[in-house]
Amino acid sequence: MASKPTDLLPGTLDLLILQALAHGPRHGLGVSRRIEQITRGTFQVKPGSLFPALHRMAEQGWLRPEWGASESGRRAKYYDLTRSGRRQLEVERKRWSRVSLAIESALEAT
Amino acid sequence: MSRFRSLLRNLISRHRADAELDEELQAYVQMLADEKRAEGLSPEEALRAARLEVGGTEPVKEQVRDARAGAWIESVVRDLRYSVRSLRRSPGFTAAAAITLALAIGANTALFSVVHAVLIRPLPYAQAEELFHVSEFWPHEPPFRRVVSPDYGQWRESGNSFEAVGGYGRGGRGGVFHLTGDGEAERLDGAAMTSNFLDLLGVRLAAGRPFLEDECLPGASPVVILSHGLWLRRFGGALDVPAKPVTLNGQSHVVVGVLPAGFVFPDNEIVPDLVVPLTLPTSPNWTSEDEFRVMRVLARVGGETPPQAVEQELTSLARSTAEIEPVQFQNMRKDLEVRLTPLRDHLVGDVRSLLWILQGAVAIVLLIGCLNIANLQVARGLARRKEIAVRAALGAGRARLARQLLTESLLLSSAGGAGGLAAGYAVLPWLREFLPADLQLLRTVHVDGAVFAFTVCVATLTGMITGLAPLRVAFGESLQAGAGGGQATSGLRSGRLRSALVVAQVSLAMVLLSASGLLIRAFADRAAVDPGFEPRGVLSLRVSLRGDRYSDSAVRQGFARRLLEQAGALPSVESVAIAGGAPVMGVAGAVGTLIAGRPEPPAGNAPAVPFLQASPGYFETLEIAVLRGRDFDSDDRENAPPVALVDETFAAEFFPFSDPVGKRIRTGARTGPWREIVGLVRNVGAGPGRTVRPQIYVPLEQSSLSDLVVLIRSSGPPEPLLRPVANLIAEMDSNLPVHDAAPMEQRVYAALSVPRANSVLMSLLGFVSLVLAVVGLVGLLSYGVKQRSREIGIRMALGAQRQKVLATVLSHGLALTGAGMVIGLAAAPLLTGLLEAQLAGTAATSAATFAGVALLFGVVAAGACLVPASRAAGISPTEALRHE
Repeated sequence: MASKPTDLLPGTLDLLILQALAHGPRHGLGVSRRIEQITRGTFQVKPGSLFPALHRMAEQGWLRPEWGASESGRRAKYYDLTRSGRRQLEVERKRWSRVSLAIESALEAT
Repeated sequence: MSRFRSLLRNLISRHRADAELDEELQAYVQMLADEKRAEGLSPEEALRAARLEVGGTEPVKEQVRDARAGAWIESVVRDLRYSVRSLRRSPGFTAAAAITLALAIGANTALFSVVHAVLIRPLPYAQAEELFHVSEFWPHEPPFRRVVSPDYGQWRESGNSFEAVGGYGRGGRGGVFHLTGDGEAERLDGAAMTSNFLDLLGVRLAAGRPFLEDECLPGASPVVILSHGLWLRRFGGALDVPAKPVTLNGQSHVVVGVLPAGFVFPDNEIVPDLVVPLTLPTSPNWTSEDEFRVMRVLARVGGETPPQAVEQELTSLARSTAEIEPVQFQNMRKDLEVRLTPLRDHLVGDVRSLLWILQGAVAIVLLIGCLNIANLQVARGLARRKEIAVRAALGAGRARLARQLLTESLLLSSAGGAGGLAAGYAVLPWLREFLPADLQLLRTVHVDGAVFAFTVCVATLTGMITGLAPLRVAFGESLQAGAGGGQATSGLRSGRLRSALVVAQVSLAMVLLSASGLLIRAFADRAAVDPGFEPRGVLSLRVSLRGDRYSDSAVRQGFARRLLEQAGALPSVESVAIAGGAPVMGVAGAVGTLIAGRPEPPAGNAPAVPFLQASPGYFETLEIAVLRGRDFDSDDRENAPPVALVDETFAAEFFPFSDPVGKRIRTGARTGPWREIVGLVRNVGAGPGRTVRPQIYVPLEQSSLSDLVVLIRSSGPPEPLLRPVANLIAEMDSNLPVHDAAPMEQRVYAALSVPRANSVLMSLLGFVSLVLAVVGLVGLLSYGVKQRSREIGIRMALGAQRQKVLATVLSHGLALTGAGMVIGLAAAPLLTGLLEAQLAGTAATSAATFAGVALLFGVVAAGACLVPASRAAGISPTEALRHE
């Protein structure tokens, strides 16, 4: 299954980040690794798209940034889901299942 | 909220946000390198590989910044665009709301600019909170507000509880200076000050230097400091002290300095064009009139020292001079006290409470306006339930919707704020008309940064208030009910909220109206009080007979006699009088008074009674009734038997059981002559809130007087008489300036300016609040009728009477009004309690006034409710049912 890493589909980055944070706070690299892990290496998020997205979502109030110590003892910024972040995750999830359902049925209809 | 904070952070500490971002990215690179090292790379290689993979942190940072700013701006722009569109869909509501807000915010802005300049902003002097006005007074006497110069000298030499004292006064002859020489001769207002006075205030001259100590000694060569205005007007204003001396009152003065532009002299009674040194004797001397001055004093008290300590020291220093004083002063001075008044209180006086009351009142009007708009917004919110519900279903979060609705309110209130700033600027000159003209601090009123900030805050707050109420409705109901599209069910909760808003409006308006009702009554009471004289048609002016030429009392008497004679002969003059004072203009002084045949009180304890020198014709000119006995006549001369007239209060106080006419009194307990009381006259200047003091009148020619008040009754308007009278005086002595000339009526008018401003402005605000509250009430009822038109139609189709429908709507309106009025009446005493000072003489909870206000409100509200009620009664069942 794990083949070449693919570019993200537009609109999926937010969902993936929210999903990556669903089980507790992570720092930037942690988010990126977690996305790789849960998509089984299909998606790799580069810092050039990861950090703008993290900051934008923090401003939207979905993520709460906080400084903490990494496993290797470095000072790193951790991101955690806020309540509205969790709600947003639900919204994005539903939207995604609608979209994917629609795409699937579109493809099957041929 | 976190978004707001992060915006703030972005704006305030860009650098810090950038540094944090940098740190975050560095940590990312380091952790990436850590991973690579774990895979077996050397530390250097790992770091290099990590850096290569990230591809430079700068572009990443740039992208983050874009995302951050972009997200914010984009969503704000989106909200704004949405709000503009939605406001444009209801232009009527938008215009009404924006205008209401502009007017209400404008009133707040205008008032705040005055409050700020007069009550809040530091006075225009260095560390102004350390400055105090010093006055001497006697516990049982009317306020003196002055200091005698020997005490000032004593304080300056021996006092050490304060940092400095400085003195000032009017200077010249009653503050009048005649400028002659180049150009037209001009009459100027002057002031005098001690050499340290500007230093005491911490005021720097625009050019030149302050007075030197030597220049304030008697006999020093005359010098002058010009005001900035005079300097610009007469001397071209290049900021350099003119080398040429100026001629003032015939004497050449060297100009040593120019006051700064916008300088406010720290006394409302003195607005100088120029300042001369206040000449004080070198050593205190009580015996010679030249060595004894009445002056005004300011003190600077260090921040740590309590003013009471300074008062104590000044009092004991002043009393310590008793031994060196002539005997007639000693007893008078033993209960002398010294009072320190913060300079602002001295300058502002009773305008303070007036301003706070008005500020409170305009705030209430704004609040009522806000409630009105909130109510309209609730109604609109109901109309938009469907739209909001659809948007919510499409995934717009609550916060998102709330922000959109709030943006709309804030947009509206910003428009109102902008309009309010303009409106406030426009009404400011009008507002100033109502405030006492002599309040010098009014010159410093500007629409400045603080006023702007205030307006922005008020507008924002307004937006919050008008935006939050509709939010409750939007979320309370729209989400469930709206999507169903039901029209027939009228939201119970929104109905209750809107009713509550209207009740709040009515009660606020009721409070304001009650206050204005009381103030109008207090003003009417005061204005209606018979002043005891007739000011209409009387011209009043002052002439001071000072200097060598008039040192002899006989010369002054001769001048007065001639002036009376010649002014009396002018056309349209009905009568003329000269006196030592006049009602509203102040009375010369008081003397210790003894009654013949009664035990003499111990020396110095004779009751001090106000005492006025008056020529024959005084009572005729002012139309003060002579109740018994006779008026003064031309036979009451210097060598004729001394006589006096007394007023009703004097008679009541000293002769409660007998007729004073024919009795003898001694004016001036030890040295004065015994006088026979030849007549009894009416009280003058009485009124609620004023203690009436007894008054003695003595003939002008049986007294000595230098500062004359001239009163002329005209058969027509008094103003045109000024020129001929001034010419007449100029013919008699061209160096005698006429000053403080004004029709008596104008003085009486000005004396009531604060209560008038109170009642006029408060009634205006009360009226506005009544209109706003009634508009809110009618809006609520009309909306209800419109919403329920189908229901009403069905009822009528089923046989309901039109009168019944009318009565239902009407009683709903009246019930709301009644509830509001009850709450308002209960709350009114809280506000009117604050008005006590303004309501002197009127009971603060005057039941009749409250009842009148309630009646007025009830009638207006009932009349207004008839409009929606008759519309309801006019609904045709067929029309209403056809809609569905």
